[in-house]
Amino acid sequence: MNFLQREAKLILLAGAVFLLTIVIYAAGWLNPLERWLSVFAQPVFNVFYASLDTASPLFRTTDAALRAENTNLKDLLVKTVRDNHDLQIQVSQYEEYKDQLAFAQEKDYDTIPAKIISRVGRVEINQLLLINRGSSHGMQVGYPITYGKGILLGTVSVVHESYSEVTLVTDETSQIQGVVENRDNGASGIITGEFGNSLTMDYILKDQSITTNDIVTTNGQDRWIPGGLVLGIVQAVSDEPSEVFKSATISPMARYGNNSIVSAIIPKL
Amino acid sequence: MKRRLVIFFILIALASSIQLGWLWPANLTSLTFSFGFVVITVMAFVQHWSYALWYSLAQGICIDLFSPFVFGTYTLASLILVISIGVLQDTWLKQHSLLSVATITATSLLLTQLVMLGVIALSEYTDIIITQSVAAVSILNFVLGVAAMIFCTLIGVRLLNRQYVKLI
Repeated sequence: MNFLQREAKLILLAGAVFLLTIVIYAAGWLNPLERWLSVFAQPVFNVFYASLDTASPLFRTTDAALRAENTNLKDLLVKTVRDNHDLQIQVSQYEEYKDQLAFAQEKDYDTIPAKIISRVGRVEINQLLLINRGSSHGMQVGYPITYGKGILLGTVSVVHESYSEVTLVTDETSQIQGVVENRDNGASGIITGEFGNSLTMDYILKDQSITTNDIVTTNGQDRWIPGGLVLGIVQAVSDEPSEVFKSATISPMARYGNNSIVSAIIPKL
Repeated sequence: MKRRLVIFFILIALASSIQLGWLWPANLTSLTFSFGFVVITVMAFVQHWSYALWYSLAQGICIDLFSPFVFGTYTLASLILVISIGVLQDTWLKQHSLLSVATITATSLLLTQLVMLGVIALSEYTDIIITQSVAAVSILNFVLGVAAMIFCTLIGVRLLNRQYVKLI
């Protein structure tokens, strides 16, 4: 008689207990026992694992390997976050430059792309920008600097070999001829910077039309600056009977930050 | 009998200690050595079938309660260990030699490992287990662990059953 025949009753009984245990466990009736066992056994396990940790090079090696891996992953995470930040800046710059490129292609302008590297100089009113393109890149004094879809930021005032200074349109020394866009008998005048954050349009003839929310652009009469570059939106119009000309307050449209990409438009000769 | 049991457990403890790393350089067997399986195997070899089966059930359930794998994996493996030893004894243990005991133990452990691997491979933790196993357990590690279990079983069987005197 072989083993299975001899011990059939015992094996069947053990099998039945096994199946019963599985059913009881699946029903969740062993959960309290599991919890209590964990509570009582955990301190014993802790002692056991601690002694293994100190005794076995395997566990030491594994721990060391895990710590090294953890350190590597942390370093990788830092690098990834940094790379991601750089990438986001690049994507943002690309989006900015895409508009500028589209505008330049539409108007058939040749441009020099540049990055704003800082706002220095007359920092108290933030009217000077430094861009990372200079004479070695073909930059010249007077070139208009635009942002986005043809928004005029200012003009190049000083050129160095590897960088240039840009005087913003909001600088008090800036004077540009502007015109109200898309309007018959639209007003034209001289636009100067004011207080570092707004523009004033002066010398508007009384019979010319200008109202709030009109868009003011360059009229192309200044040397190097083509017409159609956006300067801002009319905020308020002043028409005093005692004055010979009307004037208007213009809100500049440019919004830029460090690392922004701008374009210098190369004038057509 | 009592004295022999005491000697057996002392030897098992000594062997476990050795292969856990205090004395023996080949200490990487700690993950593949199971003291409980040795006890079950010895009980089966000395033909205390009821003890072997109930002990394997109790041990398997206890391990399963702590194990992250499917409940029943260790219980099934323990039961299969006992049954496979019983079945193999009918064919390979007619000589009552220690070599037969070692062969049956190795075959039964291999079968048990295959059952466990099969169940574990079906579990949701397969990826983690493979990663951890590759990191922590080498082939040498596994072979040494099984060899240590066979060695302990031989000592236990020899101590508890005087029939096993021949080497081959």
